[in-house]
Amino acid sequence: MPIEINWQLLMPELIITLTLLIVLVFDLFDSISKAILGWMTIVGAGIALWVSIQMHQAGTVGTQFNDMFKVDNFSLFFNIIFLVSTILVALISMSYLSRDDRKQGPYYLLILLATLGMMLMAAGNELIIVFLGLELMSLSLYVLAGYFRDNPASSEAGMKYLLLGAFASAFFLYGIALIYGGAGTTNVPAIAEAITAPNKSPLLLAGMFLLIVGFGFKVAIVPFHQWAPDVYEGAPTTIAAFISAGPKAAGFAAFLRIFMEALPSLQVEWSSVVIVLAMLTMTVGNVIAIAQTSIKRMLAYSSIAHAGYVLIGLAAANNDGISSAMLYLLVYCVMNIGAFGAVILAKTEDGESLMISDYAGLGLRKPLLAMFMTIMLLSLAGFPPTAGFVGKFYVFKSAVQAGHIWLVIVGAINTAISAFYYLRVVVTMYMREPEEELSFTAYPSTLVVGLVLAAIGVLLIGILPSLMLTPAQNSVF
Amino acid sequence: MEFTLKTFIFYGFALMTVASALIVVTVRNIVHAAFSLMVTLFGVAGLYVFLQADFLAATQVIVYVGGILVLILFGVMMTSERFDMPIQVKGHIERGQLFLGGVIALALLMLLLTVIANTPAWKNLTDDGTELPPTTARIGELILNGQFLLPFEVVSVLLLVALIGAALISRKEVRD
Repeated sequence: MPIEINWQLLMPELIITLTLLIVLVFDLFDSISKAILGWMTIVGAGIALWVSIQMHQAGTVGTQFNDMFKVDNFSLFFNIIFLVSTILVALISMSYLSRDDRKQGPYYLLILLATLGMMLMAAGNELIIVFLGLELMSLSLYVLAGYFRDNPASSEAGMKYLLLGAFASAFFLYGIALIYGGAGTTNVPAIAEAITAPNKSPLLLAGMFLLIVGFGFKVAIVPFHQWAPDVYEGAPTTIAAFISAGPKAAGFAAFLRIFMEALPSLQVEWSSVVIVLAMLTMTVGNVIAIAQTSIKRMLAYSSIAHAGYVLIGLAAANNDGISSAMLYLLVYCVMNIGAFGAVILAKTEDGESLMISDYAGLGLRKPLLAMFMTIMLLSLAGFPPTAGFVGKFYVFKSAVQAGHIWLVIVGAINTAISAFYYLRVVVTMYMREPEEELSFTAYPSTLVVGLVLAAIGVLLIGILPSLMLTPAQNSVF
Repeated sequence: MEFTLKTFIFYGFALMTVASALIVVTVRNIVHAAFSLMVTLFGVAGLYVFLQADFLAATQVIVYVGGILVLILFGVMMTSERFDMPIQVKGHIERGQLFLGGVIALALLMLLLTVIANTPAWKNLTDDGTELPPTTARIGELILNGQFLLPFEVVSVLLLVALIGAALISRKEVRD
């Protein structure tokens, strides 16, 4: 029996696969400049992004490979998030790698492989595919976190991420096994059909909790967040930006798809767990972030807190909740990569400026850098007219509609707490004098381009929210 | 229940699996634990044979006994040589840890027993002596006729990542 394959549905994934194979092969030639590999990554991801946008606008829907791979606006919207993140990360990585003569080939190759894994997670209509996508993404990230071999902190980050990530994958896989035992299938729609309301076997509930634990590790939800600060601090800064953006969105993509589509009849059980986790994640992330002196650790705890805001959308569990969570993830990816990019831009002759106190007096000495940093931090704090405000507003609105007033109150209090530590950096930059004059290196042009794109994105979505809100609303399954 | 040679062998395998698994978690010497684990894994392979899952049984022996166990032993051998570490588990196990671990293990056992008791389809199964066809060929067909083609292809990409990652991490850092 010949297999019917509709290649058009697979276009974005095929383009990324082709790009990574080209990067793999071109890395073998010593005669070419390795900087071209970064541009190949950007072009490949750019074409895939364009194709995804076209397919999203056309409203393409279809399944492939015996219902295992599902293309719909939901997966295409997440493809857009992943590819935007990949392009931004590639832009901020170029100068970061070349200024230390780091090897570029495997770096871009692994970034593309991780992106492919994320796309499979978002399009996975079958728990096996979601798991394989998760592993593909995670394995690439473990290596990338430990990419700077001569830096002990980087090796430690890679090792720590690998060990904890492997545990998380095991939990996830065990959850899949138990759900298979309870429902008799691993296909997402078929699970929903198999689980009817009276049949709430303990097996399914245990499987569901194990899935929450597995996802909780991958997207750094409290109390499964302990790896995040150490990994973000030790990993190369560009990789910290990458890990905090795309993979988190991918984790939530699969989280949303599995819990909303496969386990809707267990919603009473999981939504109460998600509400508690959301409150814990926001509060712990924001409160611990206040105490940080290292900017990478501060951003790590802030990204934990942001996962809590996304969980609010999941807890609301209505169409607005899903679309606002998706919008929030897009906004979060852009602004978080932007914030890490500003950290990379603040490079002195002695190395990276990683302490918050290093940023004293930058407002007047380095106006461009301080401006980028301020835009990103204001957006992370959720001030209008930035995208961060739009994201938080719609997430809170969906939770109010679902009747979770307390959750919104906790979220609002947390926004106020987070404003304190974000604004502290801004105050340090503009109102404090540096203890010693630091000599900054020249701005690399690709990095500035990346930051300008991120800043435009953040402000544009902030001023014209419907630009991305309408596509997000059209993308609910 | 009639007591045939088949049930006798089955309970032999089951006892072997459980007893050696107990040894794995109680014995203090890691090498002894690893060898005991080998018996456990062989026992599980034997149980797969009883379920007429021949492919799974062979994979169990090749991957777990042949691969993972050898890796564990290599790991023990190399770390104890290199860092001059004893290969005994000497640390005192906290009573709280023991309690918590015991509770979780018991809860899991209760869960699985409940499921076994509550699944009527399994209780009513009888051994009517029919032999199922070998599974290996069918698994190969399912992979290549499209039903499991995508996972198969994704696994091949996953292996590429593992290969590149291992080569990258184990080599000295090379700069462009």
